[in-house]
Order: sequence, then C-alpha cells, then structure tokens
Amino acid sequence: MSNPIELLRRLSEVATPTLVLLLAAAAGVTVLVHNWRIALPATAAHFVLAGALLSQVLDPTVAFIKPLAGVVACLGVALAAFQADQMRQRIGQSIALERLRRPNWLQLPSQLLLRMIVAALVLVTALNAAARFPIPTSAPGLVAAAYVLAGFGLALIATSFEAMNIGLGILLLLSAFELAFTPLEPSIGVSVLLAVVTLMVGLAVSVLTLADVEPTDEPSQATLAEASLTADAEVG
Amino acid sequence: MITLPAVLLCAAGLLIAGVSALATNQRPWLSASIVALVSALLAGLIALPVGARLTLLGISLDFAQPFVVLGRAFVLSEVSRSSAAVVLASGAILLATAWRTPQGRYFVPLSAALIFFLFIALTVRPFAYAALAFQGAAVAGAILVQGNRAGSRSTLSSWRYLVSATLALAALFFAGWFADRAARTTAADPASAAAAYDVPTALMLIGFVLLLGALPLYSWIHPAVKDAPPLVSALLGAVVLGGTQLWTFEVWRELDWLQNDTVRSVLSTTGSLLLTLAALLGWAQRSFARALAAALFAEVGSGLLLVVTDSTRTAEALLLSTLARSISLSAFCLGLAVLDQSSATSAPTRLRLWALGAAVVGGLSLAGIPGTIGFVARWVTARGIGQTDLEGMLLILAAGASISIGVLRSAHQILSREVSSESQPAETPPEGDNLPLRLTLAVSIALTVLLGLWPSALVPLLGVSVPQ
Repeated sequence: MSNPIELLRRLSEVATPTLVLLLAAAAGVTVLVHNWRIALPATAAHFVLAGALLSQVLDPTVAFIKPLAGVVACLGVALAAFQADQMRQRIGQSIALERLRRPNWLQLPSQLLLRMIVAALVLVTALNAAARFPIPTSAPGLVAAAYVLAGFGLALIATSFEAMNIGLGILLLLSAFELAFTPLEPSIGVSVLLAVVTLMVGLAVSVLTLADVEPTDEPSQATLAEASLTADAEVG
Repeated sequence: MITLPAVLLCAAGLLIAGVSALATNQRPWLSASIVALVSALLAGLIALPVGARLTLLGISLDFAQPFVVLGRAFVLSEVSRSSAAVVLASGAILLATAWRTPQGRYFVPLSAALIFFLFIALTVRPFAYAALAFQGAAVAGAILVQGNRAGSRSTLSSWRYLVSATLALAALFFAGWFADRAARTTAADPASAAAAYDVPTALMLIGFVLLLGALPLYSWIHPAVKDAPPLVSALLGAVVLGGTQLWTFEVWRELDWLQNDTVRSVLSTTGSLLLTLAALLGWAQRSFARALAAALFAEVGSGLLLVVTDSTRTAEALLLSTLARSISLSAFCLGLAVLDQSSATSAPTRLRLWALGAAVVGGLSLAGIPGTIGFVARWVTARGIGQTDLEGMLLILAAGASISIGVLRSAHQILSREVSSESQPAETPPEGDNLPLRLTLAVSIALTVLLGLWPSALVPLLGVSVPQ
C-alpha cells in the first residue's frame, strides 16, 4: 500500500462517475476559491484524480507520470505564492492572509457569487457537450471529465485577476487536453512529453506569480480590482 | 567511421550553449557571445549545400538522417533546413546585438531556450508534436517578457501568450489525430474524403491563428510588445513569429488536404484584416512600441497572404522576410533599449542620438523603405503576392508607408522631448565609456543599410535566389 503507483491503481478501481464527480468538485474549488492555500491543494487533488482516471485506460505506471508532474508543479506554484504573499505584506498590498484569518462566512461577496453562477453554467454546458460531441474511441467518463476541466479552466482564466489563478486555469486546460488525448494515443512518449509541458507551465506560473507583485508603491490591477469587489473579508 | 545525424549535433549544440549561458549569466556579454556564436555556427552548418558531407574527428555528419527519440523523429528535411538556418541566424543576430544591453536577469539563457524550442518545432515529425515545442517557446517567451520589469508593466501579455499556445497545442494535437483517422476512413471509402477532413482543417486553422497571434485581434502580440523589454520584443517578432510562419508554410506544403479554397480564404482574409489594421493604425502612432506592434501585425498579415499564395517565390520571400526582420529589429530594438537605459541615467547626448538613429533606420527598414534590407524583403513579398492577389500587394505597400510615418512621428516625439530637456543641463559621463555601445549601434545601422544595397550577401544562408 505504501507504493504510490499501487495507491493510484486502487484509486482507479473506484467507479468512474464517482471519480468524475470528485474531479469536478476539486476543479470547482479551484475556480471558486482564489486563495492559494485552498486553491492549490484542490488543484493537486484534481491531478491525482485525473491520474486515477487515466489509470483506467493506461498502465498505472505510465498514468502515474501525470499526478507526479502536476503535484510537483503545484508545489512550485505554492512556494511562489507564499513568497508573493510575503512580498505583498512587506509593501502593504496583501489582503490574502487577512481573508483567510478572518473569513466572514455570512457575507458572500458578489465576486464569489458570480464565479458560482459561471461555474454552474460551465458544468451544465460541459456535461451537455460531452453527450452531444463525444470524442470517438475515447472512454465516455474521461471525455466528460475533459469537457468539465476545459470549461472550468477557461472560466478561471476569464474570471481571474490574479496571476496565480490564471496559471491554475492553464493547468486545468492542459489536464483536460491530457484526459481527452492520452487514451487516443496511449504511449509513454506522449505521457512523458505532456508531463514535461506541465512542469514547464508550472515554472512559468511560479515566475509570473512572483512578477505579479508590483515593486512600486502603486497597487496592482489585481489588488485594486479585488479591493473594490471584496471590501469585506472573504474566504474565496 | 561514425555517422551522426546533423539534427542531433544542432540540438545538442544549442542545449550546451544554453547551459553555458546559464553558467556565465553573471557576465551577460560572455553568455550572449556564446549563444550568438553557437547559433551562427550551426546556421552556417545547416546552410551547407544539400548533399554536402562533413567529417570532423572521424565523425561524419549526415543531414538527411533522422534522429528518433520517444518514437518521434527529428530530421532536417530539404524544406526545414533553410527554415532552421534562418531561425538560428536570426537568434544569433539579435543576441549579438544584446551583448551590452542585457534585458533581464535570465535574458540570454531563456533566449537560448526559445531558439532551441523553435529549432525542435521545425524539425520534429509528425507535425503535431511541434505544438509541444511551441508551448516550450511560449513558456520561455512569457518569462522573458517580464525581464527588467518596471512598475507599470503587467503580466497580461505573458498570460495571453501562454493561453494561446495551450489552446493551439490542443487544437494541433487533435488535428493530427483526426487527420490520421480521416486518412484511414478515406482509404476505405474514397467518396467521403471531402467531409472527413473538415474537423482537422478547422483545428489546424485555429492552431495557426492562435500561434501567430493573428486572432483574436490584439491577443498577445500588441500587449507583449508594450510590456516586454525592447530586445525581447525583437526576439518575439523575429525568432518566434518568423519560426512559426516558416513552420506554418512547411505544414501547408506538406499536407495536401489542407490546401483547399476554404483554408485559403480564411487565411487570406485574416492576413488582409491584419494588414488593413496596420495600414489604418500605423501612421497614427507616436510611440516606437506601438509602431512596432503595427509593424508586426503587417508582418504576420503578409506572411499569411504569402503562405496561401501558390507562388514559386513563397519560400524565398518568407525566408528573406524573417531574416530581414531580425536585422531590422536588431537595429530598431537596440536603439530603443539604449534610449530606455539612457533615459534612466544622464547618458551623453551623442549616444542618445546614435540610439535614435538606429531606432529610425531599423523602424524604416521594418516598414520596407527603399535603401534598407526591409525593402528587399518587402519587394520580394509584394511581388510574390501580386502574382495572384493585387489587393493584397497594395495593402502590403500601404501598411509599409503607414508604419514608416508612425516611426517618424515617434522619433519626432522623442526629439521634441530631448530639446525641451536640454534647458536643464545634467552631469554627463565621458563619451568614451559608451564606445562599445556606439559601435554596436553603428554596426546594426550599417548592416541594415548595406544588406539593403547588396542583398546577395544573404544567398548562401537562404539557399534561394535574391533579386538585385
């Protein structure tokens, strides 16, 4: 049981609809909650679940490459986000820490509500699209998961102000592509190359997360937008 | 005797140059020189005549032999040889320019990575795997754009570039798979051939326009040029866009099913739209960065028109315009970089004048004004397109004229500022300190003008004929 590949194989034995639901839930949390302390573990969980779905059609050893690369990319982004938070705090721009320490559960900000509505619409559209435009020869469960992830990825990119969240949207998009394409060409070469791409994108997301912290006194576009929309503390 | 695929030597050479650049990153002049020298040597090697054999220390280089890794073949085909040579030469020219003006902490190693990925994209088969290399180039480009960040810069362009490359990756991979499937279907039922290729054709078109930054309009080229340090804009404009255009042309020539009227019409409409936009907006610009963005729109637009023109001169025009663009951009963006740097310090007026001169000459060359290398490329392009599309040719000429006005207005804007600030004398360092920089500026100006007068000097590298 201590072998991670064996763990992934055991996880892949869970029914496909359950795995797809869990995957959608993890990706949904990434879309709704923009605080990296919650969004990044959810993204890492989505990589593990995507790996479990892939192990249903691939050798678990090959499928393991995906969660491995994804989790490593998430770790890199987490380090960058932590560093960015420290830098923001030093220059008095940080609101992320405050939001986590003193969440106001009773007052939902309009931004979070908007994201919830968008996520619900995307979910319905994606499931509909999976039924209407299935990818030939690919497993239906994987196709549905791919459509949901692609929809969530695009929604996240479209509704985010902060660099890190846009980056997570790109990682979700890559994951969607991998779920849809890998069963069509199940080779170790494709899996390795896509894992390398995931790591490279993770690196870019980390660098851009740090670059998003403005070095000047002027607050960033992200901070201004968030400050105006979330006057009260929130979790998302 | 051992036989080695030339493509492996080139890829390994670029990788080693990149690692060396990282190791010597503290000395930008050294790292830039290493990568520029290696790229130039490899470009010269690839540009050797087809059929030539080279033996070094008992190792024979085979240009046609593919190198297979993870089931994918890397090969320097007859078409991709010229493209790869031009991309490497463009990279060498731009990095040689940058030896005194580093544009960010990891500018040179990331530029080496960018050149490496584009080389891989041009040589890998099947074509869909080039999308992975373009994604790698997008990662390097997105980080490069953030070099030398000042307060007002944003990460918007980096994200847009990354998102475009990711969407193109998915589109191209699926296009490849659907095309294989269509080939199998067509073999079994030839009557279904036309409909079978609809999906891959649409996906290929999406991939092309996203990678070239053509659609959606203003997606990543415009903000990238605004956000990036000048020499990074030059790399994106010459190496990335040039490499992508050459790859698009290779794929277009290779895939028979792609050459239909619908694709021609979509690509030529997109090209015309970009050229019209450049012609309408270019003249109104009063900033070099915006004039550059308009010029890049025109370059992408004319490239798209060229790709769909079944002219004998298409390959020649594309190769020449990529190389000419890198030479023009080296002068233009070096001038801008020096102007940027010197505005932060109290640099001597003479250096600023040299920089302004380089920016104007490079900008006019980019617009295709006679007497510059840009004119030669513009002329060959216009002649190639004019054989079948007169409106396209007129649009190219109009865009060039409009951009040249934009360049001159931008120069006038800077000169006006210079004159008004001369009333406040500043303590200036001695002129001798800037001699290497002034020499680099002079060489880049001279190269832009002299190659415009004697373009035949480029023939060995292009492997095609250049009109006198």
